[in-house]
Amino acid sequence: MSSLDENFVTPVRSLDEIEPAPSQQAPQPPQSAQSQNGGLSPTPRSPEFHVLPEIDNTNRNFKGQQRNEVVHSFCRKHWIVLVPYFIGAIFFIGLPLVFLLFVPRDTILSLVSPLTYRIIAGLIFIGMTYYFHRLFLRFFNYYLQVLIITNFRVVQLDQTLFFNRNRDSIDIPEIQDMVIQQSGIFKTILNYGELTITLSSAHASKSLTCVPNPEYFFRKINKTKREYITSRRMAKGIEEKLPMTKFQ
Amino acid sequence: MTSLWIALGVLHVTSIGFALIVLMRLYHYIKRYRFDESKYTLLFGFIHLHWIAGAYVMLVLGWVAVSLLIFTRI
Repeated sequence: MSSLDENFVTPVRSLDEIEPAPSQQAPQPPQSAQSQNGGLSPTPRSPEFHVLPEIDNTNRNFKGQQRNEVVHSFCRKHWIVLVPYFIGAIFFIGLPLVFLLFVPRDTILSLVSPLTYRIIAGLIFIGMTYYFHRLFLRFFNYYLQVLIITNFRVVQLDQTLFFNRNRDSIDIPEIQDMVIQQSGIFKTILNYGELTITLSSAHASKSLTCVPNPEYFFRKINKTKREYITSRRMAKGIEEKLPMTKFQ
Repeated sequence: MTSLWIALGVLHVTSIGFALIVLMRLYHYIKRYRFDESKYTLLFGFIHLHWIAGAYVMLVLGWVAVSLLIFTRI
């Protein structure tokens, strides 16, 4: 080989030199199998809770979160649940305020005695103060009621500031079937609905009402369940067989 | 008239005290439940919980002022 050729020869490197060993690689963000291989190859995949065993998520996002539990998504109820309170605010806060501020005192006193007027005004004050606090409590409770989808389960936090602290948890493997119910003009226009989850256990089903964008959460729970099943298979050492394998 | 003023004072002291308890419990909740909020999770896509808490404080104090103003007219 001439010296000229020698300049153009690429030195052969071993595979270890080109690609670092798996232990030396930086941790990659979790990717779905379809994004890695187009869903055609049966190569082993890395589900999320196999990739992130070192991260301690205990009580990270919500109380009761497990060590390897990752929050995939969460939502609150659709704002339509607050509409009755907005309408109530107009009647119970707006109208009495207009009455007290803009109706002349003499007009009222020509109808009722001064003592009666004061008693009515006092009752209106008490009623308005009560409704005012109730309205804001409803807003705060709206933020407290959360539906969380993690890699292990679906958690429904149904709590209020003072009276309720209910928590309902559905394990992902328990989910048998899901149904979206979005019937009615408001539900289709405003895109909210009911998500009914059928369980494999004795409790027949669980309904999640006023879920915003229910189709997204339907797909999200399905995807989480698929990932869970795949990871269980991987943990057991069963290689997943995909239908396109024979064409490769 | 004095008794009505006392009643109004008691009403507002109770109201402000209740608001303080509510805010204490609310921020206790916020400490325990930390989620990454986005336009898909906030009320109407943009209203943060802190804004509503601020509006609550402002309106409780504002209602004290407005009710005193109205009461002077009665």
